[in-house]
Amino acid sequence: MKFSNFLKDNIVYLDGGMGTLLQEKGLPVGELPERWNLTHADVITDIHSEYFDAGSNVVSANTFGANGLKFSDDELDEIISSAFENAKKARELSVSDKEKFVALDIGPLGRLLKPLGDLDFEDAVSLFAKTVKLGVKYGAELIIIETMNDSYETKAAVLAAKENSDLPIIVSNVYGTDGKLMTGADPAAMVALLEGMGVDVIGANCSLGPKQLKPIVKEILANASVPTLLMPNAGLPKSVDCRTVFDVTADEFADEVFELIKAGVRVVGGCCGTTPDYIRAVCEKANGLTPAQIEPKNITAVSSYTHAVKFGSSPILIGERINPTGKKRFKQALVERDINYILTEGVNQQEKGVHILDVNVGLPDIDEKEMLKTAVTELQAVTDLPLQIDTSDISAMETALRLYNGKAMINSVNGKEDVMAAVFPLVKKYGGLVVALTLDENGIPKTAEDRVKIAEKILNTAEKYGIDKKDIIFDTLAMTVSADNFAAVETLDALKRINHDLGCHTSLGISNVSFGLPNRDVVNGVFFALALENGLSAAIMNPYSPDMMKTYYSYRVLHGIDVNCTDYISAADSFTVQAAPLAATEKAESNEKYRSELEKSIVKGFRERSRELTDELLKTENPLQIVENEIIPALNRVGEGFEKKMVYLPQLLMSAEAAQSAFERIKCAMASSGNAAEPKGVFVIATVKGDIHDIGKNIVKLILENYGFLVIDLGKDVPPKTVVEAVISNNARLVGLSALMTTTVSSMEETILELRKKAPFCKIVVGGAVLTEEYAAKIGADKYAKDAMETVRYAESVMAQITE
Amino acid sequence: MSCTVLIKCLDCPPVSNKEILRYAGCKDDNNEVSTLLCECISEAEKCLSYRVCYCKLVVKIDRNICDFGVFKVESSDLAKNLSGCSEAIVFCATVGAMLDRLIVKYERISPSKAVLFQAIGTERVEAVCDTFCEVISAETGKKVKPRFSAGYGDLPLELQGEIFALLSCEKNIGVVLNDSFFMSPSKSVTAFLGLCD
Repeated sequence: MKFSNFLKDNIVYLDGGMGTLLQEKGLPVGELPERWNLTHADVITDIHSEYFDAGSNVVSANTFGANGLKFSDDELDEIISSAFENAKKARELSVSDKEKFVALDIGPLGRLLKPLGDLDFEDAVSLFAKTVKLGVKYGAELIIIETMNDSYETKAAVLAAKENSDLPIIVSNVYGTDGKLMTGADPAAMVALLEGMGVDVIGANCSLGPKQLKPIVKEILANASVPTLLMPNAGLPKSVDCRTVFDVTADEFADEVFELIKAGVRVVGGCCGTTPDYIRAVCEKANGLTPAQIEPKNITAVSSYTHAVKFGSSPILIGERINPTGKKRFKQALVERDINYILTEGVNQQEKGVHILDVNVGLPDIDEKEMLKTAVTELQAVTDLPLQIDTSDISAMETALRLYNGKAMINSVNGKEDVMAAVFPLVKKYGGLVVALTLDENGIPKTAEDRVKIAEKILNTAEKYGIDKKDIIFDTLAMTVSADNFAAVETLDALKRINHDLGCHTSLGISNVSFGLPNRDVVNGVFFALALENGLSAAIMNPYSPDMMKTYYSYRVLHGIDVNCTDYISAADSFTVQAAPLAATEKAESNEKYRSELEKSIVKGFRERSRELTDELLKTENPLQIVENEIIPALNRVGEGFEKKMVYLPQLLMSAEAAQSAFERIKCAMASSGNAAEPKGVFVIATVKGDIHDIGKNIVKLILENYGFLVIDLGKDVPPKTVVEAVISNNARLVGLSALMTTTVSSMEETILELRKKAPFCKIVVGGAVLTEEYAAKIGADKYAKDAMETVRYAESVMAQITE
Repeated sequence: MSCTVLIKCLDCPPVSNKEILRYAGCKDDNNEVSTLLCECISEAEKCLSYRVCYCKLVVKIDRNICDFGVFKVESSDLAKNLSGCSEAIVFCATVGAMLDRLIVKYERISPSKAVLFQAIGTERVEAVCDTFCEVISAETGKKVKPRFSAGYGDLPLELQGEIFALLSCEKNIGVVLNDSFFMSPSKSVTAFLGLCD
């Protein structure tokens, strides 16, 4: 029998702990248990066999840590080969008459993925792929990915399993007492991610005993439409007479697990501290029990690395601001690869209360695939909101979906055959909630009826790809009312029908409706209200628009969603425009002399206030004058204070950030008037190959930008070749290299050598915790700078010499 | 030689703003920085989870060799630190991965906050270690020596590999080690703690 068939109608019993048993049999500390497949085959076979005899249907081969980080390719092959030999032999030896399967067991790699650690996502996928291929080669009947405490690594393992096998996949994560994975995901987020990717069983193991895992398992049961798994520890370890014992006995364990099988759990086993006795106790206790039916939950959801966002009665807001359409400053940021601008746009929208961020970085002149990859990677480092991948470039879409840490929203598919043929396979493979536009080869139908027909066609095609109705959300296309008076009426009618007749969720890009009209926000806000009343589930909208937010909060109050009107009340203050408050304490400080409010605000490091004051000044003054007369003097004041050790690093940075927010307004004003400021010079900056620390580098970058340099930031762990290429292509006269670890100073030296050969025109300044003036000279740098201010002074002197 | 690795989740003492400012390189108080720090602390507090895994070992010291049974370490500085102890605790403590999320976030959008979150993490992980040492001292009724980490004096950083193998830090508290012996989450500490009567 195939495992997938057995799973349909049976409670599945897995095995229990392996590590603790091996230690008892003499596995020394520090020795990798997988090597025992070769050296102690009989011991491993005996343990497997005992589990089969105790009633396990599935035994995991001893491959938990068998990966390419711990073993060479040859040894990995031998280990996995012998692991399966041992497990299969145990199956033959076992006296049990139950159905028996052998699984490839995959545990974590032992390294954390970027951005928290240093392992690249695709490298993780390749490492898992090696193990999966060998598992398939040696006869695995299913794959168990377990003890995963990071959602991103879990995704990498699942992708590798799907791309290199067609075996059933079981995934089990480690949840803490806070009900979350170590890197933040809750059960609903994991279910959204894993179900989207087509995983067959989802569950929890390790870290806690069965009692403590109960709320987590209940949460998985409530969300999952696939079978749920539970593999708890035998409680917590204790030391008794120099032996490790666990504080939950086999019978107590069986009692707790039995309750959860009755509550719907379908796959059970044990983790640390459990033995064949524990599995036997569970099997005996649950003998004869009818397996629970798995009900489809019909939850429409997307997820991030922390939480799921579910579509239902409360409207979902999708922030539309990460999109260059009609925004000159945004286009400029994209061309200059100014990621910071995009990140700030993301964080600001989150603060305004959106639930999902739309990400569109398409421009005719840029490499959209590369840009979208960077934007998604960087955005998921600064925000825990789910992302909506918004692109018509299929290869960019695939790249983004692959490395997205969660189940993404996808914008978009439509009724055109070729678009469906391109997008649906991606939705099926990576999971996702896809926005379907009701248009096709013949354009956007005028009537609601025809739009519903397209929706039906899309649903039918999706079904052929195995994509469920719950993973499609229809956009009935808001057209401009100033061009066609009845445009909104048809859109709303189509919306209502799709919602009522087809039972599908809907989304609209709101702002388009008012195009060409004055005071557009008013129309947008009312149109949003009408759409919500017709069943709209989500809106792609501008969260800075008070009218939209008023509608959102009022709708929730009026529909009884906002209990006690709490959300409305706390948001109500922001509906009225307030004058910028001048704190009394600020006025009181008369002893400190400032030439202007803006100078003072920058010196004090007030970000918001500096932005507002700059906007105010821009009404009357020339942007460059503001820089000359206000911002630079403020920066100099703080910079000099820092050099005299009267101002400390956090203050210097606060001022630099305040100055940056002022600069941002200046850039915006200049972009819309078509002028761009001439930079003082181009400065290429990087943390060298092998080094993953970049806070020092980021500080230098920020201050250099403040002083008018165009900084090309190559990031961290940058190979010499990339630095040389960037210097040549930008004709940069200045390069800054940073290294924080002694081990990476040699790659700094290598980078300098390359630069001297291929770009002799540039000056090289180095810095970082392990460097000294003497060392910098020894490796051939032009300058050692101890901090950001010294780098600025040096850069200014170099540029002054060049212009002379 | 078997040894039992135990796990503790700890409540930590209140945050010391003064200590954090010291780690952030501020020599004296400044209104604006203090306000920002308070903001950062309240954001960080939601992200901290203090966990320790540890193991008690019998230690025999012979000149500069410390024999823990499961492994031997050659280090005159550790031998000096553990002199007079017949037992020692080896432990790994962490404040969890979520604080690193904040550091990673603010490195990108606000370096001033990133510096403060770094400092908060350092102060917190030191506080976890202090609390843990007090708890151990109370539980065992023994005096504890100052904790001693790989990388101090002549105790090689490479020892981290053996400590991690012994404590199964990844499985027990979610801490991993990279090829350069750096730990993730970054705000984690491993150390020896000598117990004397």
